[in-house]
Amino acid sequence: MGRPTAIVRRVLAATPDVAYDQWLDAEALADFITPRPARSGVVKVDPHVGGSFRIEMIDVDGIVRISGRYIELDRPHRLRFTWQSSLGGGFDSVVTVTFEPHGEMNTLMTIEHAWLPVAWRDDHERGWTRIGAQLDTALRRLATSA
Amino acid sequence: MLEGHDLDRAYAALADPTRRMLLERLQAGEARITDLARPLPLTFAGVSHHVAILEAAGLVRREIRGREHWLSVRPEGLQEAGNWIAEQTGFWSRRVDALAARLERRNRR
Repeated sequence: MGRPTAIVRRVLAATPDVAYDQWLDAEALADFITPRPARSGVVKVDPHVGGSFRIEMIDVDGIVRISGRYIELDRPHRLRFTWQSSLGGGFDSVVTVTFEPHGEMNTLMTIEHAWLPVAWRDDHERGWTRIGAQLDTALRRLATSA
Repeated sequence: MLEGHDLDRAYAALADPTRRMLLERLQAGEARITDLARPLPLTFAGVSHHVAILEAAGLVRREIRGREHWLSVRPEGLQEAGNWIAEQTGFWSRRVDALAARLERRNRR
């Protein structure tokens, strides 16, 4: 049995490079990442491996803060980042977004949001380069055991 | 609110094939540790160890009747994990709607 993972797939009317770039452009991200009627506040991205991002989602009840770090940036195929919400009970999760060509002009985008076990979270302080490789191994193993 | 450590324990408990087998057996109805051990190449102590882990993870409950300990599945144990998946799936599928709409607008320009 694998880790709890939410999976969403969609065909988008754009080529993979265009779809991929939406995720790493602060203005584009601000436009689609926050559920209405909330609106995006400060959105900052530092798109390199080990770099962080943060997103403020503002609604009448206050601000939800999302933060994370980029683990893998493989344009235009795949990006992977950790995801932590100020509402989320204090545990990390990992989001993997893959982009596959679909016909000439479209992209099949897959989002997999996997909850991250404590053992991996404890390792974070030891450096993101190693964590990236570990996560990759762990997630591959989890994917095959799912 | 979802507690990450509860989920950690639930999924760590489920990562073991013997414990999954014990849970499957308990799905069929309550049982004592001796009942669980009988068809398995495991000692009473071995089964007892796995049952303790399942209990700590909130997946199994123990009821003491007289001198016997009866075990049963605690179905709400995995409910939180299910809720988490449903919440995230809903969130991302609406985010993808918004991204798709953004790209459609971009194509029309």
